[in-house]
Amino acid sequence: MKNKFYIALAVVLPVFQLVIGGTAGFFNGRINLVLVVLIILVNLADFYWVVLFATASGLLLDVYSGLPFGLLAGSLFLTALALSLLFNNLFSNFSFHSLLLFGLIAVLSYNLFFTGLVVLAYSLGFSDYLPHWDYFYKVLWQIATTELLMIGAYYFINSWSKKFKPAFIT
Amino acid sequence: MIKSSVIGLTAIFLAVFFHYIGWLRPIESLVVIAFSPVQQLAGSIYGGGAGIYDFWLKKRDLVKENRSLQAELAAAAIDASKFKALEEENALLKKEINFIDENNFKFVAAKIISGVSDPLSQSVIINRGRRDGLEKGLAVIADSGIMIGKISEVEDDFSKVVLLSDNKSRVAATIQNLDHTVGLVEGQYGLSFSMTNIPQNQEIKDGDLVVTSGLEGKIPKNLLIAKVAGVRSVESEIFKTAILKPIILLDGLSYVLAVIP
Repeated sequence: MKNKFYIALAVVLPVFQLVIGGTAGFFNGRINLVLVVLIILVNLADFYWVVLFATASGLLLDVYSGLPFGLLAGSLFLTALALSLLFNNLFSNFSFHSLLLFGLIAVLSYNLFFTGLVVLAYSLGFSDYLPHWDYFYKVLWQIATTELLMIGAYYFINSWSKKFKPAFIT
Repeated sequence: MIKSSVIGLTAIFLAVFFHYIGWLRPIESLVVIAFSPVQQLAGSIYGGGAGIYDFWLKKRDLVKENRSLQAELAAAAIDASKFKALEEENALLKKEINFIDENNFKFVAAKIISGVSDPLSQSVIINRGRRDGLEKGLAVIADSGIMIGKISEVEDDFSKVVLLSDNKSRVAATIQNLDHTVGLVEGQYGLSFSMTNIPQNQEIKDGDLVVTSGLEGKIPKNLLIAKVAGVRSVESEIFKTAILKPIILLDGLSYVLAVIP
């Protein structure tokens, strides 16, 4: 049951993200639903499922990408790895504020990996694209939308599960 | 953790390798074709979100008054929205058919499946590919013959179209003024586009139409691109730049035509 749920998430979310992004729409790059779910999975699921989700949804997004294939999957995979390491070593306390900080770090690290891979692909001649100021403006939007969705997810999950309850801070 | 990481990384490397040698193409085509109805359905639901919200508010009041009337209204609203969508689609297709009748080009009609997933490029994915005779570099038009972009990647069953507003988009164009000024229409980071490489001595005024120059082999001459909305000129520079205003919005396109010269 759990397996099917994670696999369905990895398939449905990228498609939904594409729908929200629209055809050259305003929300393209400003909302990253896949990243939001990845952050939640790092908090709640086993690492195996986090990697599976990041890889599968990333590869699916790559099919629809104008950038070199594998770039989005690579960025999501590296983000999953970094977030899991951070979560296991630094973010042991499941407080609301730590979740928000974790969300901020997640968006920044994802975009750092993404920018790094874009620059690498450009340097190696695989792509013509380099991030521009407009992209960094989108990152600010991404931080805001991710945090908002994280707040929603935190309260939603808290209403039926104890997994997000603060362990030390009340 | 290490085992899962190695599996994930290997999966990505294998997928990238198989993609570039072409073994993944059938799966990618299958994914795009299989998900296109879902995306279109989700897109229409998402697009009509505001309407649904208004409808829900009305529905709440009607429940209090009369349950049966509410059901009737719901059915009528759905019919009306379907009718409106069909009416819009019909008008759009009529415009495209008129344009086809007036010109001798060969066209391939295509439906836009989705936008792209990355935040850097401004592209759309259409449901026609190599099997339909499309190839890289062909012009894509919408409405009554207005160019919206160029095909950048072609697969068997779908293609990616780089929109004119993409910052890597370059199209050889002519301004329909007395000088028939020639230049390059370039995307401006997804926001708009401009025409560059215009010699300083050329007379350009607001409202002049910009069309394709025909200098690119795969793009026919005189496809409408945009209108001039201003000129940016620095005396010390050899060239000036015309700021262009799109004739149609590139966001929310649904049907397009690929032009085969």
